[in-house]
Amino acid sequence: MTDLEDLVRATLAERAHDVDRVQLNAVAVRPARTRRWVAVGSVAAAAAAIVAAVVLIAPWAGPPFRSADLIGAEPPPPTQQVSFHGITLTVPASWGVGRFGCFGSGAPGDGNTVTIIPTNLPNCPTHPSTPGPITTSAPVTRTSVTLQALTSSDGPGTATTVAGHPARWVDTYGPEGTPPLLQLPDVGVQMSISAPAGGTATVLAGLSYTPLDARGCDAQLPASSPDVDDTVLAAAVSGAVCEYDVSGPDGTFLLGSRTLTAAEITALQRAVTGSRAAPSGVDGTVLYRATTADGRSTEVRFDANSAPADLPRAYP
Amino acid sequence: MEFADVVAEHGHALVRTAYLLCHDASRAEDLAQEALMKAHTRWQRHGPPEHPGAYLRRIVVTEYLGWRRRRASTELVGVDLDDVPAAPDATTGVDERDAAWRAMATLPARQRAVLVLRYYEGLPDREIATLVGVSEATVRSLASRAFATLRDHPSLANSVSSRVVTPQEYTESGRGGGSA
Repeated sequence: MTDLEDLVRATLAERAHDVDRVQLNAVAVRPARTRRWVAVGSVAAAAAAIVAAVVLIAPWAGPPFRSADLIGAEPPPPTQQVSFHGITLTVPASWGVGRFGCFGSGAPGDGNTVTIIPTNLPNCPTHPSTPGPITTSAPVTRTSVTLQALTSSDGPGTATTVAGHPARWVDTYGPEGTPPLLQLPDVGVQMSISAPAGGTATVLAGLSYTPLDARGCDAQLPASSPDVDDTVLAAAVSGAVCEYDVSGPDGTFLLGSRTLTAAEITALQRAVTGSRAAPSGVDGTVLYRATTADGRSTEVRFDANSAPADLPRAYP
Repeated sequence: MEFADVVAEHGHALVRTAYLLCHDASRAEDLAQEALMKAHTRWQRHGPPEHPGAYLRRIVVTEYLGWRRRRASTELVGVDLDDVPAAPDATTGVDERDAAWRAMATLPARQRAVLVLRYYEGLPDREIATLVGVSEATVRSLASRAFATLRDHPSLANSVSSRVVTPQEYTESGRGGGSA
């Protein structure tokens, strides 16, 4: 028996109890988990998903459940989340998602698509060409969603509320079949949804607003960062990069984020301690957050066009 | 035996094992739920398995290994383990175990599964081989490589023995036959 074996055994025995504490919270939020995709318009599928969720929570959350409750329940398909400006869209994992970078990117998926188009892409010599809305008058069989930075909120519109935010439907006056734009002015987003009957409601049902994304990035660029804490940076074991729109008309919104690898944290440490390329408090729109094992964090910002090339970016 | 009895008896242990495998409480809950769903389907069709606990554990391990293979291509956004800071604790040895936990998170799925099944579940290599879908020799090799990785991990390099655990040592220690 080695020290390392003993350590592994003790660690596993200790950490197994983590889930005892976490589980209660997880159960509490379980019905709202976004991984569960319930199709609006399909009462049977929705009922099956609800039964699956409720019944499988029951063993830990309430009275014992009966096995007969599970009859007919099928696990819902996996989902994916697409975030932009704090708006998170939950759609089936089979959908193609395109995040337009300098030259465009995306996966074809199953024919249903979500496309994200920022106002002004960082490090791009020219603005890329972007797809227009679907304008065919033929019956729509696939869902196409475009999330775009808000260009203008002038003109008439029909007020509504989406994900707790004021919104408005705006007629685009395009050819027959052109879907109206859904604008959310306070988060700088407009959406175009082309979908079969009932599909628009399904898309909207999977829409939420999260002021902090999964990596702790604010939906809007924080005003400034405190001084870089060199001690914290040197001891960092994890981190993330949050990248914001360079020149949004109504604010500087989150374009995307990603987790830093160990090598990327080392590169960040080297970039800061080596060249001091990112003085504290700079008005950069690429924000790197480095965190130590005991939860202390420090932030480093770079300008989008002058960030060191060996540091990762959150947006293609 | 009712299916609800199986859930009551094994559900909690299932979540714990799933958590040690995937290091994510929410994902652990999903893995356990998926295992229960599949177990229930089997129950309906073929009646209760002979060893429900082992059957559920096998599904969890299979789901976990499959999930790790699918993860990169199906998930755009998720909470990475490295995003979650470890809680500070002044208790002696906690820092070391916390470092070990984070180091284990860097292991490939099958290596991590072998460590969990051997050192938490206390299974012999023969059963681990069946669960992971490899030979017993591969189990020993996976464990050896896992320990080599842990030994070289920066957070553990100065806190534990630097000696590599070889496959032969595992065999000689009797763990390949099931003793812990």
